[in-house]
Amino acid sequence: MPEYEEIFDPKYVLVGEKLVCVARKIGKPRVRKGSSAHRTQEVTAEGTQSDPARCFIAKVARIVRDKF
Amino acid sequence: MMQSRTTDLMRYFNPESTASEEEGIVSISDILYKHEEDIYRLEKILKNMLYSFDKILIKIDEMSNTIESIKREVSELREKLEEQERVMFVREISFEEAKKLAEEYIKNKEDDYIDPLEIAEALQIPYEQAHEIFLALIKEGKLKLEG
Repeated sequence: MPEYEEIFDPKYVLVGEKLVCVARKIGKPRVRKGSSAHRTQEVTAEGTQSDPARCFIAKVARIVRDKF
Repeated sequence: MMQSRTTDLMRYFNPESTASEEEGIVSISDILYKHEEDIYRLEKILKNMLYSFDKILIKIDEMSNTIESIKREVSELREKLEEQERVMFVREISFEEAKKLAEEYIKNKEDDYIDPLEIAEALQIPYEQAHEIFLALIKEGKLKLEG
């Protein structure tokens, strides 16, 4: 049983400073015109029905030294 | 005629000029008069040199433009190379084994912060597994999310 839960409902959006996508195919990044100084880009990650694309929120954590 | 005109001019600007000074100036003007052709030729040479310098400056400008475009192309190529796929070999190991390795890696890490991507890359394990280990370590209190 994985520690994380999978979401299939498109009404949810993953939001984070860094997202990691695991997919069969990842497209070329496209720069959004008119995105001004932010230079927003978008990318498509494709999977299959049996092996769908997955996207994770990669957060940074502090190491608790006392526990090791 | 030339001599008298020079002397007149000299007297006009410096009425106290001595005869020897006047003679000196006259002799210089004589020399200039004699070498008028040479001076004209020199002037022509200088003009040609200036024209050549202008040409050289234009060439330098063109060359700097070319260098700029080459630099741009090189940086574009570098970007393309960086965009190219980086193949990563992943090991297929059990969750327990991977967790043990991750704990070892974190323990020896100098920096106090870590993310699952670093675990995945350092241990060469699939990202999903690294993410799972990351969450398990948070649950155990070995890692703490901030912010």
